Amino acid sequence: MILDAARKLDRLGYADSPAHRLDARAKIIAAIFFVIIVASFPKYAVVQLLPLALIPFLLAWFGDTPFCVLGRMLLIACPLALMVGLFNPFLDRTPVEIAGHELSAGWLSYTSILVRFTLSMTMLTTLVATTSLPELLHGLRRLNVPAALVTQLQFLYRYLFLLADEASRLSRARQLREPARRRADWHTARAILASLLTRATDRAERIHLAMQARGFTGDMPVRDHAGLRPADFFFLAAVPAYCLLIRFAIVWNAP
Amino acid sequence: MHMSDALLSPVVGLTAAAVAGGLVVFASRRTVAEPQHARRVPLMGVMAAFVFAAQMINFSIPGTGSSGHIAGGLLLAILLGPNAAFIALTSVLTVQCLLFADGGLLALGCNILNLAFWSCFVGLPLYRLVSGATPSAARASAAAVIAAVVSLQFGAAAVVIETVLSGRSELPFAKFGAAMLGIHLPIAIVEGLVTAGVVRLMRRTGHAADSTAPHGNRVLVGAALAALITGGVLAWYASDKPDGLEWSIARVTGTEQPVSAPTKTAIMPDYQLPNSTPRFGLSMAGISGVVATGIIVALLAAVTRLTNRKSASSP
Repeated sequence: MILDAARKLDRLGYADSPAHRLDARAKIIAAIFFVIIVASFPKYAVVQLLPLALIPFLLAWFGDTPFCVLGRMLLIACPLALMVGLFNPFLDRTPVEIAGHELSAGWLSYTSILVRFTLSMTMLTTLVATTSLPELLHGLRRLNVPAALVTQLQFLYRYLFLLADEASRLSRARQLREPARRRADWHTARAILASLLTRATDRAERIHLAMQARGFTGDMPVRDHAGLRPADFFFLAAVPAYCLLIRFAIVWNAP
Repeated sequence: MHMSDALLSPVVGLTAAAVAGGLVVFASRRTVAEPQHARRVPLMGVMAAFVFAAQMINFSIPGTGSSGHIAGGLLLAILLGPNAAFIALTSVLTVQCLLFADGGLLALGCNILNLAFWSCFVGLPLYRLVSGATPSAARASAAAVIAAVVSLQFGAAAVVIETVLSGRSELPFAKFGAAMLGIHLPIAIVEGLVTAGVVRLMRRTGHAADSTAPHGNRVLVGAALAALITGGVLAWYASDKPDGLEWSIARVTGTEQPVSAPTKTAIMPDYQLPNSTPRFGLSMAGISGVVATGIIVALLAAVTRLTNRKSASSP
């Protein structure tokens, strides 16, 4: 299930490796830069995009990310790109010649969409697999993302899997009470949701009291320790430089 | 209907990210300034986690044989108020992007605009406008359905506009738009009904957190302006090329006039007002579409208000 995959991916972030030790800020900025460069390639670029795969590959390699995790996230990932792109071969029939074969340009742009999808998704997955969510959020905070949003994300992360477990317990309770029905009808679902929501708000009230007792005023403290190390600077310079090199410096005879 | 990195051009993705970022900063300031903010912080976090849990509860949709789950955007907006809900939904979309492979880094801005903005800043004011302070069950349901339909339709339209403007997919604007809006209409109705039901059950047990008093009108005016701009200005740019599917049909059949849509019955055949330059016509068609939708919604609101007043005055 998707939730299990998310849990496993989340676990990976807590390992220790050269890639994990890089500063979260450096990795976030590099990943965003990478994704923008991937999107900036012209519509029919396919082969030109491939060298970019080196970056997520190296990051995953140094971060001990199992490649099956990358593959699984690709499979789970939103099918929108695949579905929407699927029409390209039928709508764009301009003939192009590739290695002696004649092909409609739509196939080329569809392949390009698939390659872009793979690259950006893999980069995102390796980013999360080499950075624990608390580190990532801390990095976001130090990149001046509003404190309200970061605090919100910290709370969400803390309670996400907890409430998901509660939901699956409620689901199982329903299955035991009406085993003949595979799915709840929508009246039952409504009651389950309301019950889940009641438990959630009660939990929030308890958390609030507990946090108030510990002096919480609406803001999480930011630990303001280490700055960027030489390795972070190297990473932060090398990734954009390589991206720009692939994008602009090497001249490809694009179709 | 999460947008994907692979379908976006950098210009569209970054513009959306900039707008979404501005909205996040705006909403953060507003939430922090609200009284009782510290008290609401854990509630917002747990509610966002609730959205994930709620999406695990699948139920069968009556009359269709298919199953679905609620998206939860409108529910959060009703329970938390616009600004807090916007922050909470943004956090949901961020975690979906990071851990659940829904969307992408570049697409995050688009997804915030498509999925969080409409339900918080358009759907919620609509809901409050139609439902009033102490709504009857039927009126609350109607309000929730209207709000869900409007926000989901705008969201789906935004997906289409972003995709077409990016130019990575060949899908023609009109056909893709019709498909997306059509698919999301029944989804929105179910979403509205279930949301209203959950809110009612929560009120009954005294758990519905009171969201702050509505400053509905200003927000509504802003939303109306945004809709007009979307309909008018973006339609202007979206019409750069002739409709792709018609073009390809013309190529295949060898005729310039393809087996055309019912040009006589439609008021705006092919989104064109008669006797006008193409771009201007398209913009006008976009704007008048928005206005017409607005009028219909306002009429519905007036009717429900009227019936409610009657039922309130007669004991």
